[in-house]
Amino acid sequence: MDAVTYPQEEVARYILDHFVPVRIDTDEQPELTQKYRSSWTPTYLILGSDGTEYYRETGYLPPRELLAHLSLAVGRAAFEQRNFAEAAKHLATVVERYGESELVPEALYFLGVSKNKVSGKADERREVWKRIKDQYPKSDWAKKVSFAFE
Amino acid sequence: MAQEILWKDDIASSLEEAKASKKYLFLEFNHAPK
Repeated sequence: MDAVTYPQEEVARYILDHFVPVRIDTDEQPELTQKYRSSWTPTYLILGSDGTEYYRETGYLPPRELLAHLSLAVGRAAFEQRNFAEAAKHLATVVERYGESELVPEALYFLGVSKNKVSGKADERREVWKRIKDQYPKSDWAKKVSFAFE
Repeated sequence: MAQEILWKDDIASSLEEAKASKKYLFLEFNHAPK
C-alpha cells in the first residue's frame, strides 16, 4: 500500500479530505490489534468519531479499488446514520466513477434505498435496482432485489 | 504539490480530531516490513 496505493495523489487527497488517518503497528500494539479483531494485514476500519465501526476490509487494494471502497464506506456510514441524501451522493460516486469495481451492485442497492428515503417514491428505488437486475444478474445483490420485479 | 498522508498513531486523540473536523477515522492495522 505504501509503495503503490497511498502515494497516488487522488488517494491521498480523498483520505485527507474525509478521514483522520491512523496506523497501528500490529507488532507493537497487540492488544489494540486484538481489540479491533485484525487477524491479517493490512486491515482497514472506518470509524465514526464516537468509535462506531461502519466498515472494514482486509488485504492489499490497488488505488482505484481502495477509492471505491472508501466511497462505499462513507456512503454506507451516512446510510446507517439515516443521512440518506449524503449517502446517495457517495454511493453514486462508486457507480459513476468506479464502474469497473465489483462493489457497484452493492452501491446501487443502497443508492436505490437512499433515493427512495429522500423522495418517498418507491419508483426511484425500483429504477436504480433495475440496473442491478439487468447489469449484474449473477450478483448476490440481484437476489436481494428480485422480489421487486416479480 | 503532491499531498502526503501523515499517519497518526493514537486512536483516542484522533477520534477527538475526527469529531472536531466532522470526519471519519481511517484506521489501518499494519506492520513494518521485516
